[in-house]
Amino acid sequence: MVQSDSAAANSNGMITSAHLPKKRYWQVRELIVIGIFAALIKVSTLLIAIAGGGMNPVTLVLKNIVATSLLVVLLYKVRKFGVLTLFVMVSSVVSLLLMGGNMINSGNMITVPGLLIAGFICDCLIVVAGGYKRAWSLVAGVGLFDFLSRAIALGYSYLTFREEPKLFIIGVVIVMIGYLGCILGLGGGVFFVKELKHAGIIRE
Amino acid sequence: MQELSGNSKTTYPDKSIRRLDVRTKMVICLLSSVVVIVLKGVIPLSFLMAASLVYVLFQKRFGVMLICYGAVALMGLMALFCVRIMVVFIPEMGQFDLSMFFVPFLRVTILLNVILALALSSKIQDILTSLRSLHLPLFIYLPAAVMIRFIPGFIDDIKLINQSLKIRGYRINPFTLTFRPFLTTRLLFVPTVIRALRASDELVVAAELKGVGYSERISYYKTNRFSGFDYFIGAVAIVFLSFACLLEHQAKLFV
Repeated sequence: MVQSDSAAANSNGMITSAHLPKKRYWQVRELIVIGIFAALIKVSTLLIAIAGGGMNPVTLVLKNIVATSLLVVLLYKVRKFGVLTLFVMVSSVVSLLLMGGNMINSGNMITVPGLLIAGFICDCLIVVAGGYKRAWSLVAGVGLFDFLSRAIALGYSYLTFREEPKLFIIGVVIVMIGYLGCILGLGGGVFFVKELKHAGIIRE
Repeated sequence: MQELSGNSKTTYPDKSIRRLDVRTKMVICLLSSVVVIVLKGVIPLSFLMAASLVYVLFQKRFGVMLICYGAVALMGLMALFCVRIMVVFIPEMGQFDLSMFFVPFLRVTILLNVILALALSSKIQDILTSLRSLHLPLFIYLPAAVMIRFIPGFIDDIKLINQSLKIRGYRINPFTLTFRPFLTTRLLFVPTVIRALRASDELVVAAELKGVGYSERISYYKTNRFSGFDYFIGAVAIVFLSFACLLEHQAKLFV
């Protein structure tokens, strides 16, 4: 600590630009917020699914409302190009370490390249649709991301159950019910952001 | 620092699959998920199922395994029931043939076994150490470490909120979630999000005070190294997966 204090100042006792932190694209604050939200989304969706007692359509919709609302709040908190891609990357790394890839929620680890591309496409859509300052472009980006991630997961499911397409149709129906929750979650997220702004928790 | 601590490698008292590095188990999961998609034959998939069952049985967590198998079996039965209903109402879908479900069932069981072997044997500290060993850039490492560190914390927070709701006479269970979904979510979700946002603010301040992100490179206090046992199990897994692929190829030759 003494060393770093003495190194942080020149001979005149002034702090120079060389001693300031390196200017990075991703600030530590933003990285921590992404990590916290990724954990929160994983925990809350898992707990709602377990508390709902398995294949309960109500909790299936509810779980997706919560996940999408949290994703919208995350995008409001970190308004930077690449946030969805980084979110997918971080969630995939942790899923890989914890569960060898989450086969229940987002297909499997072999779907990760597709999910990364989906995240990047949605980040580009947000920029094209008016940037990270506009609410509806964020909503469009999250909506498309949810759609693409589910389509990729269904593609993996088709490969797993290709011998019996009827099982795949059941999966499609379940995913469609879940996506209904995502659409509701987009509105819920915007509403929740307004409440958080009102409470002074989101300042921008 | 590693030399000073003399604790550069995690050690386990028993000689079970728990000694394996998380990265080895991760690679086994990844390879298995690719191979089971490629395979179609009953014999190669049954062989892999038996091998993966032996692998997960080394965990000796029979109670948790039974619960997981029970949950998957219940979901499978529900799916079969839905298919049965679908075939009755839409006869164009074809006949209800139970044997057609066997191959997808084998695939799911193999994946479940390898995932259980990873999930049941890894502690949060080992996972964090393995994450460091992956040598990822800061912009992936930092949020991933925060995420892993905060998952148990959030589970505890949700338990606390659940207990406070119980004191006020409101119980969170499948019934309340099904019949009063929005009220239940509001009661559980809003305090959790506010706690999470506060936690992130506190963590940001702590990280800035500790100078996280100031240095060019991350220095690692403790990293994992592969042992001979990791190489052995990794090689066995590759041999088994290759053998299963060979069985599939052989079956095609005979047909």
